[in-house]
Amino acid sequence: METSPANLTHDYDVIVIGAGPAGCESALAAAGEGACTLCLAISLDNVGFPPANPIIAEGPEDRRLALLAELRSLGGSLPKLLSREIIARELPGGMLVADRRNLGLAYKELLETTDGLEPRQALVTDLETAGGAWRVATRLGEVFHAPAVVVAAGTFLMGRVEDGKGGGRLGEIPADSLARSLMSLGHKLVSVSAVNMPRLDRNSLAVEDGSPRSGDYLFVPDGSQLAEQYMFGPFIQGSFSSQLADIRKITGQPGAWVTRPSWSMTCLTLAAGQVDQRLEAAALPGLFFAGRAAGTCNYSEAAASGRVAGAGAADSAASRGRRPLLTSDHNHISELCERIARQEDRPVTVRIEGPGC
Amino acid sequence: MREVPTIAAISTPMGAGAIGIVRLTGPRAITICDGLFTPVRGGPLTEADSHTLNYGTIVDPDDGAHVDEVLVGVMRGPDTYTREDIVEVNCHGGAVAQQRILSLFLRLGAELATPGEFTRRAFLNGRIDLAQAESVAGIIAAKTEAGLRVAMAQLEGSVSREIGGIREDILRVLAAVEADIDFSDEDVGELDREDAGRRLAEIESRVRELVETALVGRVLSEGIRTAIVGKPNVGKSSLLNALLMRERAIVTEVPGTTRDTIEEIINIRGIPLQLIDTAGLRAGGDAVEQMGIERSRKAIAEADLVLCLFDGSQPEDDRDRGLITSLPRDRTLYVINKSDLFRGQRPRFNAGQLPAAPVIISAMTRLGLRDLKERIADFVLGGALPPLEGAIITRERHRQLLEATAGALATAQQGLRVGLGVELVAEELRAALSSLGEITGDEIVEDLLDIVFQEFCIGK
Amino acid sequence: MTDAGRSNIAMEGFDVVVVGGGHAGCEAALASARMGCSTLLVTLSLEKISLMPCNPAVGGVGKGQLTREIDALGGEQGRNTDRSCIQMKMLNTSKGPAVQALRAQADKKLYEDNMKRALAAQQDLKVLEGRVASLIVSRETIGGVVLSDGSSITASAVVLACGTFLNGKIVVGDQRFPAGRMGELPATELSANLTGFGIELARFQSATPPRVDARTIDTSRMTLESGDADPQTFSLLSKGHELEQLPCYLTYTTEKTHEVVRDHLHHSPIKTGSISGKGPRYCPSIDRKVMNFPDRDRHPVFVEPEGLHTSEMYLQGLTTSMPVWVQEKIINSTPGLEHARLMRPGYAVEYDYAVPSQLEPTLQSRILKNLFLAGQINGTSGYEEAAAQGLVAGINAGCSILGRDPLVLKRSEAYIGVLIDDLVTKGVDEPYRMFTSRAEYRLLLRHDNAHTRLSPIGHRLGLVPREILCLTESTEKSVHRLIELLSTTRVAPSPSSDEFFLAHTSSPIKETQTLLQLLKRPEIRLADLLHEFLPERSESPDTLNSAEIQVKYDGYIRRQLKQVERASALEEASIPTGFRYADVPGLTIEAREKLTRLQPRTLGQASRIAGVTPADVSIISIYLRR
Repeated sequence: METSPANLTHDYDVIVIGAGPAGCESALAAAGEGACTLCLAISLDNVGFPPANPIIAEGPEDRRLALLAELRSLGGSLPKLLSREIIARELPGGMLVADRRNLGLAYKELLETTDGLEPRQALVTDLETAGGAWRVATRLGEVFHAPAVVVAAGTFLMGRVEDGKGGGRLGEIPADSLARSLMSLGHKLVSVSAVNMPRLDRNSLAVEDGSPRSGDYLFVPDGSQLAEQYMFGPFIQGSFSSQLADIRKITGQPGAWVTRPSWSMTCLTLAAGQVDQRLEAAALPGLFFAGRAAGTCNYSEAAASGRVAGAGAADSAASRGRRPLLTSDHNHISELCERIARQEDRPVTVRIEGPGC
Repeated sequence: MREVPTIAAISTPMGAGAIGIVRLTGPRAITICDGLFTPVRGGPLTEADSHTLNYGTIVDPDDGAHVDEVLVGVMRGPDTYTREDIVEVNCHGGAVAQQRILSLFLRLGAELATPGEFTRRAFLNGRIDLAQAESVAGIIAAKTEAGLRVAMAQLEGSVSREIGGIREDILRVLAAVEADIDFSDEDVGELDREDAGRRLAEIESRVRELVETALVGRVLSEGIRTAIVGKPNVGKSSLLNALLMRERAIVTEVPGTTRDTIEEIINIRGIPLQLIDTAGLRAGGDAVEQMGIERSRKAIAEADLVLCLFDGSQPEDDRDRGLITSLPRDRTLYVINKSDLFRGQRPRFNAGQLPAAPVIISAMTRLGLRDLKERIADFVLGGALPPLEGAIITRERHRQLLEATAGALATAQQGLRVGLGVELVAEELRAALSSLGEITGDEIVEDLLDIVFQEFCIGK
Repeated sequence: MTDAGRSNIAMEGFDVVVVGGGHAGCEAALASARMGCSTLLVTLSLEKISLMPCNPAVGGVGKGQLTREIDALGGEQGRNTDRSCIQMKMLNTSKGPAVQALRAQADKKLYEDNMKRALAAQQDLKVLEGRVASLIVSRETIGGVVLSDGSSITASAVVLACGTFLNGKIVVGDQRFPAGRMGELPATELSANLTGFGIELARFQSATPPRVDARTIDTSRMTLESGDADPQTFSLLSKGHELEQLPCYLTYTTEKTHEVVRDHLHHSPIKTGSISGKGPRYCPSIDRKVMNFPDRDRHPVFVEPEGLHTSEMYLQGLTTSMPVWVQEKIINSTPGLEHARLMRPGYAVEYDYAVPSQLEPTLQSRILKNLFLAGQINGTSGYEEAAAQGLVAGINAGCSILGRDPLVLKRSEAYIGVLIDDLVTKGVDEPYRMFTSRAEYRLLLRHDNAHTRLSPIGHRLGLVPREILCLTESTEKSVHRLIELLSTTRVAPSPSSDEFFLAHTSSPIKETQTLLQLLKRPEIRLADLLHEFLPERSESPDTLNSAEIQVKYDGYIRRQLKQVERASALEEASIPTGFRYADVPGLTIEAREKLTRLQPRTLGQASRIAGVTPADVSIISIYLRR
């Protein structure tokens, strides 16, 4: 395959692979530290975009709120965005719920208005060392170089949705080649599974405003455009028709309509012990991991890890010493990073979707 | 509710007799004919009883010129072939008169009937059944249109090429106009009105020339160009006189010709034959019969039909043989003369070497002349030469269409000059192309788009 | 995945299922639901509903007329565009009204969101994120669809609006991989299923240009192109534009750019043949432009914003599927774009479409009853062409279920009629785009009279509210009254009237004339005439506009109306299904072959088939009695 002639490659300080919440925070953090940053997204239409749970925090006691508060003090973007009315709101009962679409669009706008940050659409296929720096190559033959790279590939590493319905997410192409690249760099990757719960047509449910419960299930408003409810609880399997039947039984509403059936997927994430507390690869300086690919479970964790990785990458690129980012005020984030770095083995199948995991 | 048009057609094929019929059917049939008809006796046609024959003359209403003596049959619907009013004009003047009368009808508001249209009306009005209609349609369709197409192509090959060229040129101007309209927000540049006007003027004059010359076909105003050739003393002038004396019907001065010879038109079964280069023959006498080789070559080249004459009482010689090989076989009739000199016996001239069976005549005694005329008529009607009835109809229709084309082009130019909107100029050009399209049968849009994309770099 | 997941329980049925949530699918779903049919819109991604994958614009010459007609019939595109519009321009204002059209730049994300809201707010309409793998068919009639997980959904009618997703393949340089759009997997099962039913498919290709970062563009080297100061709307329901309006920019490629293209032509997939399937002539890549027009020393590049809250800028005029590094070189050699950073590379996509001559003029398939097809799947290009078909397909799916006569618009009634008739009668050999030159009656089919023509139809179908119909009718009445007034108001020659005419570069009158006669002069505008001779008279801009058009175009309009009438006899003569052209003597071989293959429904349609002559038509008309 043809790749760019040498003189047309692009050099950056930091390259962030992936523009989900982790990737966005990394990129924003790195650029904020003065690094000339490139942020690569497979599709610029899916920037910052969580396909999963709109629940940011279940209630005032939810640890994620504490995480977010810490992130805010570090200058992370997610907490600021969540304070905007069109992006997140508190339901009666204290649950904090995001409008996923508006959150994604806001993240994209941030990427596009931050100095020193270049968002770009590309599917990364190769990651290798090249003369003391990192060489990132894409499906279409583009080549980028940088001393520091953050891998925030989410669920895209060998992502496979059930029944061939998709790769990294439903209907989306996976990043298989990148996964192989990481493995050939010596990384151990483990398979995890993730699920996406069903969404229902709000107008088809006789619901009061708020988040009703039905047995084990919680129904959360999800998205201002299509009037949907996210159904949160134990995973419901099966084809669309069998899910519809089950859900109608569960809700006791024969007229309920499922707009997006649940789906499950498997993908690879980093095995334990591959990165340090800064989320930098142990044996590979300048290579950082954040988000799902690193082993986080939810949106807030992804963003927080991104912040850490991004700052670390900027330091690494500038050949600065590792400045202490986290202080004693950031216990939750430190705990998170520790967990990601921990020596113990990660269970092979982890249900990533879920509160407080 | 649109009024049913009154249609007109020549309804007697050539060669059936010296009488030709021009026929009208439709609500205004009687009124239209009445506008041209001067009865010898009695009142106007509009007051004539149904199923009567009325004797009188057809006069050109513009200049009062006498066109022909005619018998006009008036038949009022519904007891007619088409169930509509029908007028039949029986004329004596052969093809030329028929054509003139037809033109006059068209001028007064009749429309040219399409092939088979009379029969179609008969069928649609319940007058004949499907089987009858089918047979008529079949004959007409297969023979007339297809045959017409072939005939017209043969006869006017250069004409249809010219029409094709004209169409292409109009399309190019239209493409520039359309590009200005449809792609005005791209970089194609505004229409150069002056340039377009110039181009259209040039095209218009070509169209008008076409109307005047090529389609004012030689065939009709001047007849089938016939040359009588043969070596001296075979009896060419006798043959000429024989044909002229008995069959001379109309000798017309043909407008617009530049020849300095007198052309004779003789009417053979309604087929006009124009005998060319007859001056030398008429003068008579052997001395003048010594036609130069050059002159006869010229005559042969210009002729639609060549009558090649031989003296049957003499054996063939080299000059005969030379003549035979030099003549175009597909339009030559071989005639062996002076049968009075070898009456009953075989001619001394060896007919076996002729490419086709000859007609044997005696110009002097008029023996075999009827035969000769039959052969000439067959020759014309049998497809060796274009069918004239079709030629008249088609020609008239084509003339109308070309005039419409020229008119639309003129209006387009005027529009360009006075600043008329380009979309209206486009309408005129489309009208011009539409008229042409009825002759050539081509679709405008795809060809137009082809040119637009070839000429202009479109593309956002 | 367990076997329990594979359930083939038939679902509750819907009246209509629409497959594909693009521009055609959304119109179809809304129309069908608005007619009272229970409708389901199934699409691969609910997030990508109504996405605009290419130009961030709706409308233009020819296309704008389509969008206007969609609004007149009660469709959504016009309204949705007005709500999302960041620049509006009336094109061809220096030319006559028959070729004037609106063009809007849209904020893409707002466009999507607004359409989603319209879907969500619509009664009788549900959406589903799912992948349709096959059709349920029994006795050549549609019975519903089956999803790839085995679920079946029954329906009385199905509208297929799958866009470019059927067996889609993206091509950039020498790279070729399956995709419906960049980043999205294609639909692979449905094509085979359709072919299995005898639906003929073919391949087309479509391409999109690169996007660059607005922060890296030097607009000082470009010409600013603003919208209209007093922008109009597509929809009569729209109250105006609330969004901020943004300009576009115009620059040109240079000889340097062309050199870059030429030096790298060996990488162009068109050259290498790496792309199969025909693409549109009117949207050629920059490679093709440079190849075909070597004498041009510059080509325009329009730089268009994709939205209010994004820095992505669309480079119209630089469509290409050359390798990305070549694209960057091309971009950077263009004045103003020397430092432009690529955000999305341009690419080409190849896809299956269904040959449209297999459709009835109602967009129903001739092969499977109650299956309708609409949009790019029929071989068209453009959001407007897609939406127009979607609207008609949705309406006709509804009509079929409600037992009503289907909607078939004539060529003399609407551009939508021209579009569908062209597709169904002539087929396509490149992605079809609407131009005004395709409409032989374009003087009758105008932006200003779309509602007059079509709102009554929309109202009868239940898609257009009474208020719009009343508005249209009252405008018509005021136009008539105004024209009456003009024909009875006389102006005598006088020094002041002389001054008026000279001031408008017109010649002074020598005798008394009516205002109507004066208005016929091309250089005189109605507004000026009224201002001078009837100053107390005030009229709405729409009334003025329509009155002026009718007077100035009068002769031409009448001529076209006559043409329509002459053609109508042919249009009304219907040809029964299965008519045997082989039994008709005298047809040319070409005509017989084409007629047999294309099976026109009326004599009018037959006459439009290339190769069928007027003589052929008159022979057929005799045989129609059989």
